[in-house]
Amino acid sequence: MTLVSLGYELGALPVRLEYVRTLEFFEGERLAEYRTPTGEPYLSVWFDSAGPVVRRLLVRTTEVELAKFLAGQRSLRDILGNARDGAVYAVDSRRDEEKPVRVAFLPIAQLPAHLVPAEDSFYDESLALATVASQQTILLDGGWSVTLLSRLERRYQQVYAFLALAGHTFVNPTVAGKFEHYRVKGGWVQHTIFDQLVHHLLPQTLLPKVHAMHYASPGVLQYEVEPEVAHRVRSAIQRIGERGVESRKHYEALHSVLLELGRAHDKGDEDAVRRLRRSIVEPARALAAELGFVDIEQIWSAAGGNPENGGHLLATYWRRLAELYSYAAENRAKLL
Amino acid sequence: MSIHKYAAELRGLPGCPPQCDAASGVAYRFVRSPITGDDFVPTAIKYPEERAHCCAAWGISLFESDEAASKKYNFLIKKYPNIHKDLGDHLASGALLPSHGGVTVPDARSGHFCLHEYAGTDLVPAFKIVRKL
Repeated sequence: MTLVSLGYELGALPVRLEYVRTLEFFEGERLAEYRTPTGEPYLSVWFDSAGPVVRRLLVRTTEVELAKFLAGQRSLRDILGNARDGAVYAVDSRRDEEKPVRVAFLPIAQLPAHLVPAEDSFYDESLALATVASQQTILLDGGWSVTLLSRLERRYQQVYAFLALAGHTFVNPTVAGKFEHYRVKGGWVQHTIFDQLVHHLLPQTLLPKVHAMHYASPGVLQYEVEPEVAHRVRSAIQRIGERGVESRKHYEALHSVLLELGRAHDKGDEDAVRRLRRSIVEPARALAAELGFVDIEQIWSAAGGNPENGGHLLATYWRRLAELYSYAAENRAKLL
Repeated sequence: MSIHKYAAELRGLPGCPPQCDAASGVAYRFVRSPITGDDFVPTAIKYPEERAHCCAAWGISLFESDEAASKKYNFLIKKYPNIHKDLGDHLASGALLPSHGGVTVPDARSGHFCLHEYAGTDLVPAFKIVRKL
């Protein structure tokens, strides 16, 4: 049993590729991402086998096409159909050897029609290997001004830092100490405090770093990340989407106590302030649980042990998360 | 205490096999017809050169229902039209016994799970063809 010869035989693969990750694995690697030394993406697609020989197609693609495929917006058929140069490399290897036994240049037009993937040959995330990449890709679509893009970047970094904090105790005591007796007076201050606080809570080395950016419409933004934290961010966004009404209800319960507390401060009504500060705890705990936090103490401690500021911190985090979700829901910025 | 069929290889993979339950119930698998021992070779042996030798590659891929297996097969064949040449083009079912090995918790969405066989297990007599896929 042998494989039918396809394409025009080459002596060797004319491009050097480095393995990045396995995207689909089912009784063998079916789909994998490779990169050239300059970062150009290729997909390796399992195509055929005969006895000990396996044939894979190496498809040169683009950052955006790959991101769209991973987002379920492009099928494998589209990826092959849009292969750069209108051709792929067909690489035959023995199962027990790394060196290919045959490499061929295969124009897509020569691919037998019955072996072209179906129209709905979409990515199956459930087949991805548990080993996760240390990069977070955000697929951008629609109109993005520089200002909006910068805002998206800040929001992602803030949510990331907040969730990194939830798993560690990198609280900067100097910042938390200053926050202990600070009174958050208005919306702008509230947001700025959140931004400043999350910015200083984690050492700069642990914040996500921009790895690459390909901006067009659509475009791609890539960060170097800690895989576990990046996973938490994606899960948090997914959760707020799945539990939209419930989640907002908990946020509004906390937010209304915070607004009332602000009014009590303005009136100088110390009794009401003390009472309302006590009543923050319950809705804050409920919102924290809704958002998946097991231990709210870390949030209190980040706020210098001040429940009022802790409540503001949590409420602002919710708004940041909801904003990221709204970009995803509108298909403007999807985390892959 | 039962010893895993690939105990020596699993020693190099921390936490492998994961927490498993004793095998039981009916399971479904893609096979060739007629069924032979080749239909129950773990991926790690079938594809020795691949880097992706995760723990699951030392297990036998199974599904908890005919429907779950068919759904996955139909999904795979859309992307990889030749997949039948690698996985087989028949669906078989078999009753698993605790003496066969330990099974992982089935994936909630796909119904897929892995059997980590004990030494001496031969699944060929336990499985029968259900139909051609």
